[in-house]
Amino acid sequence: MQDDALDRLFAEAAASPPAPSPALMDRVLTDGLALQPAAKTLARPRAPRPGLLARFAGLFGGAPGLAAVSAAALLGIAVGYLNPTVMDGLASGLSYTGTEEFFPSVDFLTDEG
Amino acid sequence: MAFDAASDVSDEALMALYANGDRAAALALTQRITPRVLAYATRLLGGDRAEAEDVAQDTMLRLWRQARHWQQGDTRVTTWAYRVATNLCIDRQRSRRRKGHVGLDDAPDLPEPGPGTEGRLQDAQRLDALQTALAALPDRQRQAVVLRHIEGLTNPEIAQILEIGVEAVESLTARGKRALAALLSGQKPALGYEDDEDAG
Repeated sequence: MQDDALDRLFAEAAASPPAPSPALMDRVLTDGLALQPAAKTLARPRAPRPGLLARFAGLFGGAPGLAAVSAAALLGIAVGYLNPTVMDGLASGLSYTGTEEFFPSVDFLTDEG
Repeated sequence: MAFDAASDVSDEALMALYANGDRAAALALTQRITPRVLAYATRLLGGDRAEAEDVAQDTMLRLWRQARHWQQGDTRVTTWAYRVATNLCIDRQRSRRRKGHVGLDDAPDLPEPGPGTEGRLQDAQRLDALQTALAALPDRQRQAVVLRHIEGLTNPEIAQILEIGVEAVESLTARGKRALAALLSGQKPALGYEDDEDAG
């Protein structure tokens, strides 16, 4: 037999391979799915846990609340420690009811010449 | 994502997808690799369809188990599958010989040239004659000839599969082809090449 005839025979065999039966394909796929590693899922990112200061501020309604409480506390401490005389002075200063004349005379506005 | 056997996704990428739990990749690999392994095993095992199916299923079973350890770039999936199938076929042939079921002398006779001239019958006769002649070749020659001339692989790929050098592959295919030509030379009427030769 000549080479070209043999090559034609090879080509014919290559063009008509034995087809797998549906049963074989089913068995192979069943094996494949049974042995397949589980799908990897991405974990949802967790929100970072708030710090100690943030959690403490949360007790007072957040940072503004904490600031107000802190200011009140400082004022309370100051009231407790300061000399009563100083406090009286401060209190009297806060409650000053006198009058001051910022413009002693406005006559110059109306004077002619 | 769905992959069919003709998808552009490489076999190696499908292995990675399969290992990551993609069920469509399992189907695509089944459709791509199983028919090739079955065809190859059928030719190595002298046309024994049942044994070839066992080899194909066993090869694919090993492929599934290998998937999670698959290293991209190491080797092609088909090369790996052909190598596994080759070794499984060798094991079965050795087992058969130990049991005395089949030897080279037990290979079925080449088909007698019959009067049938119908095209399909002639085609079947030709392919049967080739299968019978292949069965008469030594194992290594049969493997090399089938991989080179029927499965259409390159010599370097065959060298990887058979774990031999490229020169050894060339030698095996050349000797195998000569032996086949000699075996088939007396079968020209059965092969339907009588007229061609006469015409040439």
